[in-house]
Amino acid sequence: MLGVMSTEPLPQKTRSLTQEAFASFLFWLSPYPEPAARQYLDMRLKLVSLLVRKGCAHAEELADRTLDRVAMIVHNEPGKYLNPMALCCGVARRVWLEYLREEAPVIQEVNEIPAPHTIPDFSEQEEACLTFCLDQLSTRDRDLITQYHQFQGSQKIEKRKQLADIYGGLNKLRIMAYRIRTRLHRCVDGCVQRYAN
Amino acid sequence: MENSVPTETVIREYLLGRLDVDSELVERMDEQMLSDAEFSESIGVVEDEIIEEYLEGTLSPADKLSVQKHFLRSPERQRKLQIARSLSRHLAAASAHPTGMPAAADGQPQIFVFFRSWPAFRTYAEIGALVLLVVSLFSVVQLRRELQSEVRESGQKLADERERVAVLNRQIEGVRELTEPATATLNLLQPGVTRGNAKLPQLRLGSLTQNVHVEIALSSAVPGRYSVTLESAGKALWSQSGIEAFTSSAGALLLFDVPVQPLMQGENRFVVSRGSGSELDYPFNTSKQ
Repeated sequence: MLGVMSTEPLPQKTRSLTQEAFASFLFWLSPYPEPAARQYLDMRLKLVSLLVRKGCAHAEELADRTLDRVAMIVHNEPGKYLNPMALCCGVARRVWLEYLREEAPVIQEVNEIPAPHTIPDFSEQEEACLTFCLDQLSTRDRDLITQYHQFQGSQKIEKRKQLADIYGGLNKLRIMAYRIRTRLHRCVDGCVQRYAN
Repeated sequence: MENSVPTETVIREYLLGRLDVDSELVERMDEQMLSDAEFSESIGVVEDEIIEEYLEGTLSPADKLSVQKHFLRSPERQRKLQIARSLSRHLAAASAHPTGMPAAADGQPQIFVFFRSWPAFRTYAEIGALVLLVVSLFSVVQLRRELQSEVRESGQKLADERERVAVLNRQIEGVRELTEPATATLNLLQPGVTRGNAKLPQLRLGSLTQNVHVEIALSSAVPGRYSVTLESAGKALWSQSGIEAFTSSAGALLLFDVPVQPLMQGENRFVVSRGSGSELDYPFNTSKQ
């Protein structure tokens, strides 16, 4: 397995993407500006998520690097590629492997990883945002997420079985709880950002 | 290439960084994650469960090590852990104070303490009176029992029916949750006040809508950063600056997301400005369900 890496910002790489190449990339996504812009943002979001799930400490930077490279490919060989997502995926994999082989070993040091217990607790502001966001949930969602995370061990398993019977099966319940957590996550981040501004 | 969905065990190995990064399996999972929203969501579920088990301390030593050395590398995951930890504490605190009968110092409900400290009966007369009272009550209870049994039977049927309806409602809510998108979209193509009978663009918000994705078509293709303010009845409700416009020969487009909370029922407007230049109004109507 390849080693661990620092979360310090990556050294800035020279961007070879021109405005013309970017415009033709957007046109390749869709001849209409609005859907093209939407697709671009959607693809970027998915690439960031993919790279985070691969364990990348610099997901945003690598997603941008991937999209720049895809734009250059499309600009140089228009008509060769038909499936934007497949092309992005292939390029993202290549960028990720290059990063692991060429850049990560240079900057990685085991003792640079923050120990999980050193990840700070929520600040007062964040706690206030969490309370606010929980209040924003519907009663049903708040009850569900409270009961879902109420216990540990065998009590937790038993409770979730009961909830699964009510909500149409364990998988559906897990997805519902995941969606509520995702909403809470976004709400807390948005709330913290609003206060920061 | 095999098209089967990877098992949760495989997904877990993927997330813990134990699969060969060059393997065909990882390649297939990467592709599926980008193209299949359902699969991507199921990865998110497993991801959250790893964090949950890590916080509860129920991971095996090997899994724990993988979490610390691989899984928590990214700042995004560290943030997830932070939120999950706080959420868990918050919910534990909320469920640690259930409502119910207050307890005495020895843990017994206060009503038992009350009877324990009741003075002892001192005379047979008092005991006799008590027996009489109990017998009277017993006879009354006997007389009413038949009627009550009928009422109880009907009540039980009613309760069963209500429970069944409640379960069905929750299931319907569950299905609705899975189908109703959390993000609504609002397209605003023309600035200014509408003329004649022209209707304002409509924004309908469902009970589960969390965000509104707004797309504003600008009449000029001037690149740069814009400021947007949401107003209703002359009052600023929300604003964001530094929004980069997407420009092309056909014009320019502003894309941004707004949380639903500040939006007011009825007429709202986005006021768009760039630097010290003129402002453009984009009115629309909002209806909340």
